[in-house]
Amino acid sequence: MQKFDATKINRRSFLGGAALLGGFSPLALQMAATTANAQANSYRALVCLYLDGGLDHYHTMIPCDQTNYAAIVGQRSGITMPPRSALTPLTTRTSQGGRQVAFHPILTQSKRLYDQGKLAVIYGHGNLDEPITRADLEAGRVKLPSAVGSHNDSNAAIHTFGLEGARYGWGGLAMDSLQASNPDNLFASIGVGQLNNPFNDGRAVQMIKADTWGRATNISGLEGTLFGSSVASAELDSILRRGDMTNALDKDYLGVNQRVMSSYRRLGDAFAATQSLAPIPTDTTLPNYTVAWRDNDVVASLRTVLRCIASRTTLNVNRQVFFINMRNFDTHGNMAGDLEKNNFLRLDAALGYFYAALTAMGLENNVTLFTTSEFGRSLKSNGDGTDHGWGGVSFVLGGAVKGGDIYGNLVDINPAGPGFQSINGPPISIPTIANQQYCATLASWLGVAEANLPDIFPNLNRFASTKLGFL
Amino acid sequence: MCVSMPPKVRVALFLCATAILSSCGGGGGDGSPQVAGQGITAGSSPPAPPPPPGPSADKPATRVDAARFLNQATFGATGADIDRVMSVGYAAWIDEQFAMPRGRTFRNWYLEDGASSNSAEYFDPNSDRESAAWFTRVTREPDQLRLRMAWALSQIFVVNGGTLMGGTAQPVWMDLTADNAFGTYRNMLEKVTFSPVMGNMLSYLWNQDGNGAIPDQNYAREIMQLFSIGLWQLNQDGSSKLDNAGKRIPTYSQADVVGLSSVFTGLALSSGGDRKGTCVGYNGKPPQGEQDLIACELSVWPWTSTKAKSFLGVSIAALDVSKLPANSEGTIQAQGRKNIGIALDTLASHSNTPPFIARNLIQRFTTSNPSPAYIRRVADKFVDNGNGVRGDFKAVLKQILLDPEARDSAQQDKAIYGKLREPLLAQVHYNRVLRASDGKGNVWAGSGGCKVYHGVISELERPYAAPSVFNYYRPGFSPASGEAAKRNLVVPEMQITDTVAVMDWATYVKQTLDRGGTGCSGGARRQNTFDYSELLPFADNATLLADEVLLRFAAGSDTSALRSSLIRAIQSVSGTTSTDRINRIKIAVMLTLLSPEYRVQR
Repeated sequence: MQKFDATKINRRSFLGGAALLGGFSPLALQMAATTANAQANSYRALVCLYLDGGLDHYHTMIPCDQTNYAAIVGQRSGITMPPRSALTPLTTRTSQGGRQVAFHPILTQSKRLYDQGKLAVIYGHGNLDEPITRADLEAGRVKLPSAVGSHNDSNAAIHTFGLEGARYGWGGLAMDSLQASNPDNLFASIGVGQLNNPFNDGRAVQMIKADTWGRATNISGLEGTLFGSSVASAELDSILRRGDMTNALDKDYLGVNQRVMSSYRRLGDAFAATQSLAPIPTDTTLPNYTVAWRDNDVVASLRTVLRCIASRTTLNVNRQVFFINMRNFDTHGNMAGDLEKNNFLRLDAALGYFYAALTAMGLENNVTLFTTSEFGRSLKSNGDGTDHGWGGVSFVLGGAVKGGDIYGNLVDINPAGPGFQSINGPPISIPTIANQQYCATLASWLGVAEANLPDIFPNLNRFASTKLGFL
Repeated sequence: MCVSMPPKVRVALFLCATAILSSCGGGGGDGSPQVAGQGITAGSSPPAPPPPPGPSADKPATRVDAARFLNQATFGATGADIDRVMSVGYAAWIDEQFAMPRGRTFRNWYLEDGASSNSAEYFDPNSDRESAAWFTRVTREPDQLRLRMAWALSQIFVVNGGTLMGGTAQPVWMDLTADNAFGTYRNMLEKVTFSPVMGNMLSYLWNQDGNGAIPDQNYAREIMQLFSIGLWQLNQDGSSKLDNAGKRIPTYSQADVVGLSSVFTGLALSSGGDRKGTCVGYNGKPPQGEQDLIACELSVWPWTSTKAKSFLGVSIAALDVSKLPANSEGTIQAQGRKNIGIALDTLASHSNTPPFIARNLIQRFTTSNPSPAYIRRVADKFVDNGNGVRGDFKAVLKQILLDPEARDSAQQDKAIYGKLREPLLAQVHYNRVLRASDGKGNVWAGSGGCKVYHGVISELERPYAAPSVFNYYRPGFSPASGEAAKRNLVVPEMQITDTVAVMDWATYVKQTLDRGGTGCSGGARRQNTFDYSELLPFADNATLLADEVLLRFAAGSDTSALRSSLIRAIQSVSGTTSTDRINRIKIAVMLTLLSPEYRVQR
């Protein structure tokens, strides 16, 4: 079986490994080779990996200086915390006043990428319409943003900057402003996996779905004859191409069908040419990695993203955004089972896989992956899990990332301190970075002009800096 | 024993389940009756008396009108149902459905199908069997209105499958929603809250207040946001109340979530006592094994929170345990149970609940964008069924289906009326009209080999297995671009009708017309075939065949253009062999099923 050692992989061994697998296509080799040359300098893509449910930031980046480790353990009754001896404090370029955090020990690939300077940690960002301090809140000078704590509205808040029902996401809007960079915008904004998100939709640019398993065919029945009749096939074609429907639902349903008819051929070509690209590893030498690879739909979805990126000439794009939803981060209970053994392991394997594959394609500086989540979680345990919070943590990964550092200030784990608010319930983290600052930094890197940022990020100018400096 | 303040961990649940079993499953000891097959329905209202014949004005003018009604009220209009509605009228047909005994339970199907002895597969969450239990019932069995209402309720009170204590959640939830489909909202809320399936789904099993932990807020939040009052204050017609600044007004704050979270504490499986009488296993018998406990009801244990609570303007005083005599666990349990009752009463009687639930249910049956007046008429029935009963689902359903906006095309705005058929509704309708069966009366829903999408056509929608408590799609979803966006409409089902989904639908229809539906059970491939006998008499006349297919699938749509296309396509196959005749039917069905005239139900 193929061995996958993410720590040693380089482009040559990656392709060689693929060749050993059998079923290796010379076309894929050719495509991967092209990768390093044509367009590599101009192509850029953002990959949004949404950790759906609310990532527990205190269990992801565990406070590990003596004082704060003791404090977090004290807040997390019933939740097994890794022993302090298992936590390696992250080195940071910026001073954190003696406060230290460590990746949860399961996140070995993330830590390695951080140490190599490829992964940055964005600490303490959240849904903010304006800067907020504990004192302001307690004095009633400012209010919490709408619907903090609600999953669907907080999901909307980081992907659209509105409440649920907002139509346009910042990925789609960014691509709107970059339309001129793309010869063709049909494949500018791609959603992969099971859950669609408004992140992908702009006013002009619409999401197109790429099937996780690489299927792309025309509407069945349109090719050749249908039950022996070419007339039937032609009639089906004309039924689906009608443009004179007056009911809005009829019209939009036909619109989706027409998008399949106009996209399937190129998408199908892209998938056919990349069948052997970046095979999903089966490595079992790393601890628990049999679980990490098995049924890991995040890895499968990231592989689809890589196949689309490798096919950027076929798809005729220079700028792209992708969206993947990773479910089950709403860890109200069973923290050890759901978060650590399931999600952390799969996420970590996926990040390691993705960066290694990008490097093998020579595109690590052209593609940036970032995570989002609707909120962090409550400081206190509810017995075996945690509840909805506010500020949280995200990762940014890529060769262009100024990694190996924490962006944002670590705070003391003190519910009475300035890092928390508890005016209407148990303590939750007050964000010190707005989601809009975080996302605007990413959009700028993609190429969105400074002048266009306020159109996409409406409250950006209320904050001191519009860029956080991690890209 | 597990009585004193157990940690809220699922490990504890597993550990305790064995101990509980001996008392819950072993006959209890106090001889309380087990109601065979009707465990979850205990307490719901008895079947209505035979209805009076409907007035003739209530009868459909045409078979197309009857079929349109049936496509809203059932999983698809069949010839026999059309005849029945023509004969007795809309209201009487609804009353007949109300009076119809509930069909067999999903759990019985699950058990009785041939492979039930294969216990590994019986409880395999990836098997097609949960899907097939549902597909078989909804495709073939007569209590259609109950089943369609159960499906609608399952999209408000959402659980996402999975297993608990070795039992499979989906059949239990299918039964719970079917059992309560014609009951009251308040009773539904009770059954949902006391189900281990929901307790597991929203993590309030073993929820406690103390031991250094705070109560889990998951259920408190979602029961308000999704199951009852929603986020924003509503008028009776579903429109938002606005403050002086013109902004929407929240229905609750984080403080209400925290207050309510302390109510849903102390809930765990019974070891006997107060809820034992309703504990029924898979086959309508007392629980036979650990896996049956998933269908039992939760009890309130003495470690329920006794602190003061306040939420939504209601305050509950603390129970001073230090002043209680020894052995007062029963008093504490009774108080905890009473507190939950107060919370559920508060939600059921809240002024937001009628319009919130009314809009959600209208969207599941008739149209995505009901007028405010339609919402208000349905919400009014929710408030009072005419006999002073609040939340009577029967009255609500009748209003939804018989409302002028549902029945009278002159009352509808043709440019926006209707709802997009979600993948599962489209699939079941298709199989129902063509009488799919594997020869043993079961319906398998896949189109390829074993475990292709676990037997459903779309990864985005598996029966009773939504990705989260937020359902497959959201009632307020509005596409970013296109005509609905321009008109500011919501199209919830469009959220899962993406390019891959329409590609999959076409592939499914073509493959199943080629070779029937497939599924897996007991490790073996199962195969459906279609029965074309209702359509075969028309197979030699293109016009009649087109009309019969359009009647069953697209009643209510303006089908003039599609009809011309169908006739031309049907006429292109001119032979007289049985293959030619079947091919003409297949062509008519395929073209119709892919058309917007079908996909938009109106």
